[in-house]
Amino acid sequence: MRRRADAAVRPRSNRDSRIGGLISLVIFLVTWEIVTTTGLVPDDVLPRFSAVATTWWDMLVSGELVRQAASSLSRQMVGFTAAVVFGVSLGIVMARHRAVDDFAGPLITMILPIPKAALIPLVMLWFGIGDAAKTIIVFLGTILPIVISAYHGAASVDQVYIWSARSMGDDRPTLLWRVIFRAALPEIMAGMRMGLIISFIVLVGAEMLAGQGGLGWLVFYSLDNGAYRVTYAAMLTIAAVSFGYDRLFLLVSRRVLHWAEQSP
Amino acid sequence: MNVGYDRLGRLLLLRMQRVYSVLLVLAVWEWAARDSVVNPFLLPAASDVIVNLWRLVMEGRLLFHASESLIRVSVGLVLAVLIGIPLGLVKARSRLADATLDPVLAFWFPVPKVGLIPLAMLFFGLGHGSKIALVFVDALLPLVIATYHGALRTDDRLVWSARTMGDSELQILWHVVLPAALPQIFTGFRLAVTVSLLVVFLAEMVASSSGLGHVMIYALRTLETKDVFSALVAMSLMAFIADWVVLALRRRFLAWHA
Repeated sequence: MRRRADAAVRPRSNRDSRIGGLISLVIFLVTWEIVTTTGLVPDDVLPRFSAVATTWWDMLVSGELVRQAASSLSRQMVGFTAAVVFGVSLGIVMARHRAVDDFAGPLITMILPIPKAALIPLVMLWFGIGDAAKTIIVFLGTILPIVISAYHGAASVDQVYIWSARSMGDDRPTLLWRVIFRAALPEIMAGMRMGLIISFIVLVGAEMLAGQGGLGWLVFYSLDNGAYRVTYAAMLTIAAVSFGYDRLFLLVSRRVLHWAEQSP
Repeated sequence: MNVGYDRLGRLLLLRMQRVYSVLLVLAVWEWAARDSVVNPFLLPAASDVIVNLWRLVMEGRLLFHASESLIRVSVGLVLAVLIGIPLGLVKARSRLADATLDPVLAFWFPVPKVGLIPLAMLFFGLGHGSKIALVFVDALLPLVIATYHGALRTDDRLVWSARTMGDSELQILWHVVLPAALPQIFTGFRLAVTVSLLVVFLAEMVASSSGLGHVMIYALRTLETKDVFSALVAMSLMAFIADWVVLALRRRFLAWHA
């Protein structure tokens, strides 16, 4: 294929990228099937795709997959929602109140470099290995990017909006809600997406380490039992669920931000 | 004199303003653990954690594990840079590459690659290999995406000038597009480093017999809680230093950039 004209790339249409996606998926699956049926990759390391698909279907019908996915998703949703509510409020208040910024800012700078993985053993030590502990891990893992994006969003609100709202008689809470929160929303959504992606990483990690159900647990439990087909089916489910979740989030955020010039 | 003192006082006040909450939290932590307001088993005093960290360093164990983690992160990152940046450049310059890579990236970007730990273990074993592979896949995507967006921003006139002066397509990539994309590449690289550390520690916790992640989870399982906290401090230090190095490199390579 010839190199394209030097002008910035014209955006591909949605249809193009959907067809491209389908083609790469088919190529991927066919390659998988071929390397396994020809014995290029031993069967105990990588079961055939058709075998994994059958297992996946059986687990879906038996309700096992749905149960584990629901268990993971409920932990993710509670922790993530709490992080959004708390993180957005903290970020906005920090941006608007000097004293809060002076107090919380340095603390956040201090804990920011802690790799999120390190939270898992710590939370296990304090809260055990149940649902609550995993929800807390998701909460702690996702809150920082949300706080930071809300802070930046709220700190860079156009002063003119604030003056206009004040001159029209908005009091403080109304101003925060009607002007600052909405103006900060594009940044907040971008931070939320970051948090969303991290939430799946730490959640799957925590489930692998601490068990007690969930897709991450299923991956490891089946691996320990040598049920590799289940392992692969579970890994595929993790990929599908997190991808679908992210797509849904992008869809909602485009809807919510239809007024903004650029959505994340 | 008076003015001098005044200024000094204000400067001190400003410094205090920037750290007082950290000092306060550390003090409360220390006091709570020392006076057993909280169980020191669950929250060892800050000073004990630091002393314990020093002990672990002196025993040489910690440095060994830190270097294991460092090797895995570095090798994975170097591979990701060597492959990710060219991929991003090609994706920005060729429509075919763009069309094939885009759906793959769109799919893998939000997927937690730690879910693939078993796959990495089955293919590459429990040692360095599986962690390097995981770091690689996790660091690759931010690099490709950042390079792609950076390369798209290249000023066309620069490309045209280079072409008039007889540069080949490859030379243009190397001399024009790559430097133009560098600011974005560094942003992506910084994210890649953060993610790499997260992933390597996580993978070491799940399945490894070395590395800082292993130290932390082993300490938890043997209920050596001081070691858990010391490992956490060590990990954070490593992440902090890594980020500092990235920023220093950025200053060095982007001195020309605003």
